[in-house]
Amino acid sequence: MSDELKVLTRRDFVRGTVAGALAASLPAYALQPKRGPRSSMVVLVRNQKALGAGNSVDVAVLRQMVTDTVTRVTKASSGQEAWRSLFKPTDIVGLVATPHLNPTHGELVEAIRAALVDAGIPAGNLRNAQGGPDQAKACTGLIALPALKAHWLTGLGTVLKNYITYSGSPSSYHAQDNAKLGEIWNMPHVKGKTRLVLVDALRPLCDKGPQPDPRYMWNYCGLIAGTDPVAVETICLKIIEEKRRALRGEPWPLSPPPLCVAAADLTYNLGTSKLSEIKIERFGWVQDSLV
Amino acid sequence: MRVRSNLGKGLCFLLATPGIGGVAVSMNGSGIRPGTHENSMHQSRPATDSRNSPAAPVRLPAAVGNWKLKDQTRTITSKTIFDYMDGAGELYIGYRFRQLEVREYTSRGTDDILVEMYWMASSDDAFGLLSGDWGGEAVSLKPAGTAAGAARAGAWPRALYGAGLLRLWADNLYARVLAQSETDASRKTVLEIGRAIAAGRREPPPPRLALAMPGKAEPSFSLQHDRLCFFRSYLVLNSVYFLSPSNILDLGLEAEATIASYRTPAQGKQKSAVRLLVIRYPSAGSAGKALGHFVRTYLPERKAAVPAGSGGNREILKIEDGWVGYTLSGTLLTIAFECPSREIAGNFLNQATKIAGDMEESHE
Repeated sequence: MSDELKVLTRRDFVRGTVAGALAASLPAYALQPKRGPRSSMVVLVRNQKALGAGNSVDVAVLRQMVTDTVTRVTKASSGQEAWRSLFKPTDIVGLVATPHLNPTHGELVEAIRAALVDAGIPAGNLRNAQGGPDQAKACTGLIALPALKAHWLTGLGTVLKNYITYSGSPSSYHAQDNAKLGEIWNMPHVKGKTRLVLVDALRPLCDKGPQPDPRYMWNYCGLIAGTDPVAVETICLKIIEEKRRALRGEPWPLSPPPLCVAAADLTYNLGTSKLSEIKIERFGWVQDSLV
Repeated sequence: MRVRSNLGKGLCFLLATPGIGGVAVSMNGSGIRPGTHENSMHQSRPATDSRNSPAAPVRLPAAVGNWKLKDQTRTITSKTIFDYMDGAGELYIGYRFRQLEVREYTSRGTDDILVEMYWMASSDDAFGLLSGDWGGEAVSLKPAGTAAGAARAGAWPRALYGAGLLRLWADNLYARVLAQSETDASRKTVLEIGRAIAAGRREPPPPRLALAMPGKAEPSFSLQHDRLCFFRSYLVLNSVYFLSPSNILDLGLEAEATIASYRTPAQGKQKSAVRLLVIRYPSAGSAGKALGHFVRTYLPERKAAVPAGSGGNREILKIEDGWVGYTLSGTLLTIAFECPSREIAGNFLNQATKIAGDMEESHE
């Protein structure tokens, strides 16, 4: 971001002019047509028994949570039907999990893999698709499977950041350029392939991520899912913000603010970042849902 | 409590030569060479800045309680840190990072304990890493019987523990010791490992720029010691107090800076604190240039009012979140954010510039 462009500052947030500043600071997309109203649904499924002693995962509980989640996202009557509505047996399905530093639980990845196979997707068509652009190119459909965490460089390091390696140049999206993370979702080898975003919120991290700091981790025991990546990210953001407020007993905004969320909506048209446009469908454990 | 890390994920790293029964390793900035076996203690000594005395070696015990030290040592450099912690390496690179040494303790039936030792160019840099978060329980890593006060550096603790994670600052070393699951036994072990890391190391004072921050400002603002951060990088600044995704203050490894919060007793938690930022640049010229950059981008309405020179610039103006004031004196730039009035902004600038001026005189 050069000085020739509008430099976004704290004052834009205080004024409530982030949208305009983002457009001016990301000129390639500044001429996007004005955004119309949107509507998205995000499913939140929680079960306090998902994590047991030592935070070990109860696999049976988790598998049921996955089924509950995907059937609500797709409005299908069964897990098999739900997965079949998302993928065909001929699809090459990429599972895009967070590989390290508070990674996606392996049990969740395996639960989804098993459910896909049970729904008739050949095991040979499933692949771990986290990695460079070739991983995305090789897939006809993707499931974004990030873990919920705050990130000290980008504010939030969950849905939008999960595809950073698909850019082929992750460092181009760090620091001041994190607002451009949504751009990756519009790259030709990525665009339109994501059929489901399913966030591992079993044990999120609300500060100091991505390095693990157990002081800021808690057993939320949830899965958050939808087909609109920005809406899912927005709900994730709300949960993190509310947890931070609860921990400190005072406003504790993410710093830096997650610019990438608003930009994904306003600049890259990937979905909605407005809570008023998001319907949350809740299922299961309700205590301290934070949203 | 299970905390998953990136252990065993096939990451890129250098391997120190392992040996049966323990091999001490001694490292310098250019590589690793085998050391000598030393009474079941594993020893390392990193390169240090030439301005510092040689770093005391760290002697990790081969076993603590039921945990045993694995032979393998991973040494992470600035070139490989992003392989080890993609997305987190910038934090350490944002200070004057030399290398990271990673060890693990393992125990049958319980989770591993991860030991990360970040060797920095100076004690100030190690302090800075700890100052990013003063939360947790202040703990003494002194041998039993030592006065608890010795564990502090003025107002600040040298070691903090919380939920299985110990963070400590010991001379030019910043360390994180992380138990994957917190139990009484793991806590004792983590603290014992911390004592071994800190043992024999110098205890320099905090950075002068941190010590120079005024404790009070009129009418009744007090420094919140647990909201003071020493840093060099704008990325670190943004993680504490977001100003801009761009480096509008021209911060970098040659600069040093402190930001701190100030509150009044009656203010309550819901109102914003005043933030006082003091930056020392490597030269008066770079300080003046940085101020110009800051004013052009953050206070564009004052652009015309900023002289090109670096001496004695001082302005106070009202913006959206309160009064902001800045003053430039030589290499020192002081900025007060979110002040409730012009007068209070002036009070902060008066305090800070006086103390910073004293500090600069002593430096010169």
